[in-house]
Amino acid sequence: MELGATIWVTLPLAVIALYGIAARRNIVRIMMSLELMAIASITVMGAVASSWWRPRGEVMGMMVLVAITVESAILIAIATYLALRKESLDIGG
Amino acid sequence: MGLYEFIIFMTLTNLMAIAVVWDKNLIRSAVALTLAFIFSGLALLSIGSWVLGAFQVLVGASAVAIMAMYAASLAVKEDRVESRGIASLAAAALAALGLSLGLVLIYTPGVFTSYVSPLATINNALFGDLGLILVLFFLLIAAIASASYLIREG
Repeated sequence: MELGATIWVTLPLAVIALYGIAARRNIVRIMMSLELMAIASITVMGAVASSWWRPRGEVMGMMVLVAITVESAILIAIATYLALRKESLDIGG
Repeated sequence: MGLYEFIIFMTLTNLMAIAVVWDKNLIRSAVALTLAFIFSGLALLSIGSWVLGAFQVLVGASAVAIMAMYAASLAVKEDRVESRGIASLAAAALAALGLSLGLVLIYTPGVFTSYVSPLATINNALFGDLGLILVLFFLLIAAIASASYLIREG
């Protein structure tokens, strides 16, 4: 399977996620954009594993999945903290 | 199945990503994030990485996106868009969809394409020479402990 096409079709996902991280102030939306970025990296790792017949790419993708699960747990804590204390989920002023 | 199905599913994932970033309603954004996880998992399945695709649907669509939906429902209070009852109903429905789809996918390995995830190599990497499963276990425990500490002390 051709690797280049898979990367080109995954690239817009990373760009959209980067825009979301840079342009949004709501902490929940920023972390959702981080998860979109993780989806893009996982997809590229799976495509590399399939194209080059290297299953270690899938193992690395599983590590990224665990990383975004950790990020989600922290997201819940931060969102609950901000909602209780500041009554707003906006950051940066 | 192969490259064309991968492109179709990734196009749908990109559309969902646009909804995540630009939709004003956070609940709708969380639903779009769940669908993005499901579509990208299906894209991975279509090119033969069925282990990663099934894990993405199981962990991503079921756990991560539901957590994001909970956090979004916290923000709904200030936006006054929808009630929490609708959000919890949508979260339960999406969790059931993600779990059932992931369980179906994980029991149908390698029926779609020539590349099939070699379980022996993945098993060796997780439990054998790299010992990754232990590292991942401690990482998750540390995250849960720090999150509960942050909520309690905050």
